[in-house]
Amino acid sequence: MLNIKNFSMKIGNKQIIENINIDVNDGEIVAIVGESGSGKTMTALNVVGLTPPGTVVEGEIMLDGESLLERKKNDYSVSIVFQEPMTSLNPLMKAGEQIDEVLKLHTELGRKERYNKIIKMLKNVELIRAKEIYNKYPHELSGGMRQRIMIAMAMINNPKLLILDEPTTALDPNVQEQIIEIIKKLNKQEKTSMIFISHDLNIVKNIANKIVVMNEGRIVESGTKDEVVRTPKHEYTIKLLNAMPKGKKMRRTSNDDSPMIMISDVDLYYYENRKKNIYNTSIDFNVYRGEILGLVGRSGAGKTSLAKAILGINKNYSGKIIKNVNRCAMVFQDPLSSLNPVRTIRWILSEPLKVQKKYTKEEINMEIKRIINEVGLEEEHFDRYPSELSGGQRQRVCIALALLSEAEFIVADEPVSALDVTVQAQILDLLLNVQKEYGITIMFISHDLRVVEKICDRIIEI
Amino acid sequence: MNRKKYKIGLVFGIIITLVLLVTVIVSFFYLPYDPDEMNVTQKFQAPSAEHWFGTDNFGRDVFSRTVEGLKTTFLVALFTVIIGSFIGTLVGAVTGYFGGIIDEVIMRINDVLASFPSMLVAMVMVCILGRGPVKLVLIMGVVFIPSFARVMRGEFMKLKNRDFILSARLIGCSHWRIMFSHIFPNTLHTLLSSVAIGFNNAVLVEASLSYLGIGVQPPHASLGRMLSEAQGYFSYIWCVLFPGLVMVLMILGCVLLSESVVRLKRR
Repeated sequence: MLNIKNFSMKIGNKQIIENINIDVNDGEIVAIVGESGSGKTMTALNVVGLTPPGTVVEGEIMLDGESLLERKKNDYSVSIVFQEPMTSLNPLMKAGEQIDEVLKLHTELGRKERYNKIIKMLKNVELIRAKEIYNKYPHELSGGMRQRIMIAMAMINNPKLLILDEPTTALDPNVQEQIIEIIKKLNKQEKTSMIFISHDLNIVKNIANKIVVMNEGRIVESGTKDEVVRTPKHEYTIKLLNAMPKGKKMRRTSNDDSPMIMISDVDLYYYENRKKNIYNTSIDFNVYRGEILGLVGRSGAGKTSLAKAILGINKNYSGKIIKNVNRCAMVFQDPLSSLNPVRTIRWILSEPLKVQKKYTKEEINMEIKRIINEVGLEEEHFDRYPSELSGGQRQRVCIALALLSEAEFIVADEPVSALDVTVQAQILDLLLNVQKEYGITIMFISHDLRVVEKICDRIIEI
Repeated sequence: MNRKKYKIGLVFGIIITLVLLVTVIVSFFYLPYDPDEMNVTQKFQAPSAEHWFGTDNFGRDVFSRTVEGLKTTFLVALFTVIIGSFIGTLVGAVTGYFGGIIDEVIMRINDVLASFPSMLVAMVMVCILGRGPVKLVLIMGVVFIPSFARVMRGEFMKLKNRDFILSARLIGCSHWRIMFSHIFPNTLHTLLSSVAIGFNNAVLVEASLSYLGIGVQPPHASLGRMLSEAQGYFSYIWCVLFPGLVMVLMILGCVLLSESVVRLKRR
């Protein structure tokens, strides 16, 4: 049905996609797997015709024998769902109205008919209280609900082909599963062909008929699901498969010393219109020196809020938190917002030493040079700004920052969930090394149980 | 495409602003005529090689007076925004960063100040405190504080909860250091555009006050003062045209410069 033939794409002088061939048959789900920068999203954008300006393409993309590269812009035989449902929805419009917009633009249906069709579609993506949800604004919905709205919006016109660009990456694992089930159901029910883009082979395994593995703009391997997952041929595919954390690896239980941090009977709350809303009660656990403690829980359970309460930057809790620790640090989920965007890496790294006011300029320079090598960066990174580093590199800077501030206790809040799988593995290794070498205590927050099980000594659920 | 537009804007902005700036600096050392010297035998002369912009009703050289007026207006506006933005940033930083009761109290005072039109407040204060260039700058500076404070408060409130600020707190930076070493550099975009807007408003307020006769006092030249003096003699168009044109150029240059810099940096 969809044939991508000898397709190449350049932006300026940079080769983004090089000579790829992908076929999608009727009713089939084809997964494109690769790290960011592998050209998988660009391939998708070419199919929907949303290429950035300055793009030069070669080759052909045909849908049912018609070239997609030459078509008019308002074609809706192909729909797309993006990764981040919050930014893809208009915050000022009710969810139902946004779906309605699509129908208004592309059909001649009357008000009543459109409404009924939308309600039916919302029920189809398993939003049971469809009428209620129709009138909700995006911020009133959870991430999973928003992604369902996006899928409903994409499916409402019965497209021939639906492209899903990392539709579950930003979601919790159990929500991920629900969304995958919905996608599978729609695929069966409506016979829509789909392209499913992801960096996670684990998810792809459960849904795709065929898998295409891309790296640096080229297809390195493609075949049916079983061929690729069971008998991978290319080393890059093997690397991706190995990068997936798997298996339990509990190393040791905590030392029997007195606890470093005691959390007893803590309630977390927030204020809404000056009313106190308690959203998690009676949290009780200890953190022992030298361990890696995993903190898991559903989204909204207050994992981050609890961590911030421990660090003393969140005052909205009651109960007791006793700390026997001098300095703490935090590695955040979004590595871009955790570094000051207008300062160079050198400035950012010097800051914890400057604040202590006991080092000379030379000492500071020596020390940051030592640490930056320790976390696997080079001196050439010193004069860059955070935006000029990759996600993994920024996370390394955050870890360096924690080391430089001589932290004994680090909270790592989803430190790898925004990263590619291979980079994830590197950052986790770095955290483990740092923990071993400096004897730092780490509290590791994640919604990804596989990661938590891989590196943590002990897991607490709140 | 848009980038190109802003680049052209930037070049024009730099040229206009630079020319005016050089003119102001040169005027400290040299002017072709004494801007206040009257010569009744030479009144209302059309622009010529001798008097580039002609002469006015007292036979004063309009070119020299325009340059002198430019200098006055420019300096008044400059010091106004310096005072306004400096104190405004301080107020905004403290209220935005700390929040709570300090924020409530200071911002309500700010609201009260801001709820009067700046012209009106300036006029009342001139009447109370008296006239003179230094007093004018002080009064206008105070009048301009609330707008800067409001903008900067917003920026500080927005930035103080970002992850990198939390991490600065964990490192052990003092509040003062976080406010001015970590947060402040992130607000420069916004500050630059509000300074540009503030500068333009200050030019207009100074011109309006002088036009109404309560700003810069005769025989001292300012652009607004010159427009006001020339309004009886519209047939001698050069008396109105040149000061007006210079004022337009000053505002245009400033807008082009700041707007282009902000847009170009953002992308």
